Amino acid sequence: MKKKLLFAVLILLAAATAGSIVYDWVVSKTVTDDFFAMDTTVSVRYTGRVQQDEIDRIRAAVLHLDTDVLSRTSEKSEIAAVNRGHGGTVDRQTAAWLQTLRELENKSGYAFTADLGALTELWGIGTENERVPDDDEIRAVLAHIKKWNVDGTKVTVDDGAILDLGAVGKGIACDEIKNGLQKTKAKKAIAAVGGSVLLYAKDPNAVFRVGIRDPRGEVNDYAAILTAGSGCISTSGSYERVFTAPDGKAYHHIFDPATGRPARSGLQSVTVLCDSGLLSDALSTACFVLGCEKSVGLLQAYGAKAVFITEDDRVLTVGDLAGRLELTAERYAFAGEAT
Amino acid sequence: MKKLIRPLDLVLIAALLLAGGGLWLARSRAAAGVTAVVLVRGREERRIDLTKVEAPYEIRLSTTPAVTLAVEPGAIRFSEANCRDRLCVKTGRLTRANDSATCLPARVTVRLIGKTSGSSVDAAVY
Repeated sequence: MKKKLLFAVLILLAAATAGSIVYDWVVSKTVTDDFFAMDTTVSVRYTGRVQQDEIDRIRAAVLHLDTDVLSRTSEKSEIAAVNRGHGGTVDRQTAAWLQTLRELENKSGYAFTADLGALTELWGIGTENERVPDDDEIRAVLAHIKKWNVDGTKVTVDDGAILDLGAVGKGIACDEIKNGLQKTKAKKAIAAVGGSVLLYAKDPNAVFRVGIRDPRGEVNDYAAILTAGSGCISTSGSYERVFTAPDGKAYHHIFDPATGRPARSGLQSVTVLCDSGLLSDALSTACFVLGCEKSVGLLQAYGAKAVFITEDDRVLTVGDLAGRLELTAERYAFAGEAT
Repeated sequence: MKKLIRPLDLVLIAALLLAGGGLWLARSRAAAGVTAVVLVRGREERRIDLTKVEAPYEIRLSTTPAVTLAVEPGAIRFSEANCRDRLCVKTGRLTRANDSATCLPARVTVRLIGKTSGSSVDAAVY
């Protein structure tokens, strides 16, 4: 009898060992797909049983989104066609994204607007033509912005304005990747579309460690590490794409639609977490323009959470993140919940 | 009574257990260090186990524009790039799992893989 028991235990042990190895290989197998889209690098790390054709389909969806829908520079994109015709009809899905943005423009008091393309071109930050335009030039462009609209699938854009979804394209890509993932057996996935990140897990209790870039450090330095659940995270910061003018002054690429100049709201960066990538991207841009205090209401309206890093190196949060935020660079001081 | 367990069975079970344990150990050990994956146009060009690097050396990639990678024990970085903004060079040294740097014009990405530890993250936002 004893021997029978021993035998059973040993068999069980062997089976468990074999099982854990198989589990490791098959179920928690990690595959990374790297490619370029949206003028940046896209890296999707899949964990679980994901087929190659599913990975290919998700990649194709992002590339399609870029070249056929959002890109301003791709001749065949819907947005390019709308800009050429100063309006036009778009696909229903595109219209839905634009409606979400129009609503956010209103709720943010136009701290964000999607028709800033002409202003971005005027400054040319990050291109060979970067320069500081004079007041008259800026005023001339500002006269045409905040005037675009979407009604059903019909989009109108002012003659002197350019619709530019560059600030939210990466977030929309995160949403598209999430849609694709839901059709797979992926247990977990992390997609980085440039600096916008999708955290995906079948398990609602899964958490991820997300590094928030140190605005004063190098690219791979973190000011803080956030423990976050599934969702999308985006950061807007004044350290990205900076143009140093001949007079020595630095200009960053996030423009305040009210002034036509790089936003100055006392922030170095703001990181926004919410379910939608489109919203996390758009909200981080709007919040960077608004500054910490004025962002609180907007974030609450969308049920979003945020981490602000101010110019004087204080870190403030919205949405009760204190217990999930670990400051990793010494210079920053946690200053509690923003009000 | 027929013997339920013969000496041969014991040997077989022991071998199974050993093999399983060994495999598991090998896998967890392999994941302990960091490995740099160099991707050109999204395709893996080479893989460097940074824990096994003993002396610094450089890798020149004949991309357009050309880029140079500097490899040292436990770290890798873009040391030269013939482009305008040299963002990849400014990214600095990569040392932890999931650190990455990209030269967009040359379509070169370097990403570190390995087990996430106390100082590393699953993803980074910027």
